Amino acid sequence: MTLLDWVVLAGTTLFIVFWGLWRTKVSTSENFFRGDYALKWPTIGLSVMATQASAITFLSVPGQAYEDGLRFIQFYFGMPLAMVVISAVFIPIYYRLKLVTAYQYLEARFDLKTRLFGAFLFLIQRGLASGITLYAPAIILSAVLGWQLELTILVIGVVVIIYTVTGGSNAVSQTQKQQMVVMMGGMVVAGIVILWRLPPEVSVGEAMNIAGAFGRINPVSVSFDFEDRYNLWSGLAGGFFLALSYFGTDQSQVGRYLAGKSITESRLGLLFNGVLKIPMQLLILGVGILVFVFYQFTPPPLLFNAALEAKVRASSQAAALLEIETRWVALQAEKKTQVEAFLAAERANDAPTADGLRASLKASALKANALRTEVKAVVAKAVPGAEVKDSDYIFITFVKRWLPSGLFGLLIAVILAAAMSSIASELTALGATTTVDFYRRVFKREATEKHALMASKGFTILWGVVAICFATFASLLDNLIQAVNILGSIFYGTVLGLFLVAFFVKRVQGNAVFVAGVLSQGTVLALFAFTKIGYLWFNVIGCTLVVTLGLLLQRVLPTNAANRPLPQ
Amino acid sequence: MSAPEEKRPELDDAPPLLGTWRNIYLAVVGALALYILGLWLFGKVYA
Repeated sequence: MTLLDWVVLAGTTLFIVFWGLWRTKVSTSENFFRGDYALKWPTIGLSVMATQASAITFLSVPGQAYEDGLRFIQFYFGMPLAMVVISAVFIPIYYRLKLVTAYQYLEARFDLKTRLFGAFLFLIQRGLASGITLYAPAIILSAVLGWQLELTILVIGVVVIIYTVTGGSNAVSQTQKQQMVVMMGGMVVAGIVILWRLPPEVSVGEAMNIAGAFGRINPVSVSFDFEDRYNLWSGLAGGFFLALSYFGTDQSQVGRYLAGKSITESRLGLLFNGVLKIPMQLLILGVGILVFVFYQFTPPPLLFNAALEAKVRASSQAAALLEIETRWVALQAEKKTQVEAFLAAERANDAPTADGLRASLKASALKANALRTEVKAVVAKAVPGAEVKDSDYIFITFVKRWLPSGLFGLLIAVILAAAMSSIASELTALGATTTVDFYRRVFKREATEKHALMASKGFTILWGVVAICFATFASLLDNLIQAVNILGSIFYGTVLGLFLVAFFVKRVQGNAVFVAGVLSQGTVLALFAFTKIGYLWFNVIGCTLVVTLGLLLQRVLPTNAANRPLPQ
Repeated sequence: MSAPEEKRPELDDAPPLLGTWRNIYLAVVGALALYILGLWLFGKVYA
């Protein structure tokens, strides 16, 4: 990194943190978790978007588009529908009950054990996810930039803990607004620079034609397959349930929109997110597609994880790597010639030649995939136990090599801003749930306001330390964004089921829904361990099981002594 | 855990545009339908 990169990175990051702290003041524990009820819908919307858009989004999604095309966009198709349901049903009830956490509602509707069960599932899922959220940028930045991994984790973690604990929920929302501007601005600039780096005669339409010839323009698939992770149906159904659970019952999101000035501001903020999320993800995927097209004219690295490549070169497998590299360079040259011929045929409206070249390009792509598989086997032999999948390194490696000085620093600032915005929401939510649902509900019911505020800050720090420790000991997972989504899908279905029964199935009471929840969670864990069902379906299965078993068990289990009515 | 009533958020329920919340929700669902249709057409043109 050049001095200019450092100035841009440090300046952007420090400005956001200090601006957020300067704008906020905390005096009570409720104020700490819900702000001062002054947020307008643009701040809520950006805060909700920033919470979901972690560093993983900006590192992993372009790499996913590079390797797999646009089809990941279908994951977000169910989200606008979920935003409508949450706005119409969830938000009015949360507001009227004056909740700080979503799980308080489970006690209002059922009983304490169901509230604690829902809160417990959240703490497990979000506690683990916060470790991955912190680890993901740290491992990649340390590998690409040579920063020390543990130090990177520690610095990001400590900065987030400081501004979250000092400024509370309000500081998190205020910083997220700035962070979103930096994130989206940075990605737009990256897209423009990649277009500028393409050969001057290649238009945007031709770039899309090239990506299409390699099968990368695949945003909608209408075929139905349970084991296919991303198609229209899994996106609409699974994505709907996942989004309903994440935005409707996950405290890291519920806490964002409950800080609104009014029901109207909260609803508009959520709907703003529902409408803009798909274009936002399309922009990030589009950047990945442009990187893919760029590498059709400029030979891409055989391995995108340079640190791992250096280890292979220093091992007994160096000769094997060199031999594959020779074939790789020849294949890339051949592919470039085919791409140029394909463009010439398209420009001449020579459809038969273009179709023939399309087939040649697909054959070359298969050969390239085979070489990448071959080299990964060499890496596995050279560095036993190393993660050979390197799609999360594709974008950052491109940025490091091809973005000019200053813009590289800006893109690193984007990744750090994304990491900090998500972790801050997660720590606030984990602290709120621990304090409100466990500490003040079960252990210290008569705590003074001063004591409660200190406890809130203490639990937030504790979860920050847990995230740092988990991140330090975690190892690189298959694909970071999928790892977080899989983790969420395992638990979200059950939690959503609890809430849907609470909202819509009046006759089911606490004992039945609690047992149904436990059985459902066990079933989903077993399905995850022993089947190959696409993970988005766990949301549907978990939720359906809770509702169905709840209805059945209500017939046989005793009803709670206090029959709690559905809050109006 | 409670805050003074004057600090409580407003329980207003008035949509700022399109008359009713139902119309706003329909607009969001319409936007989703347009996105899917647009992406499907984009795939058809370039795939």
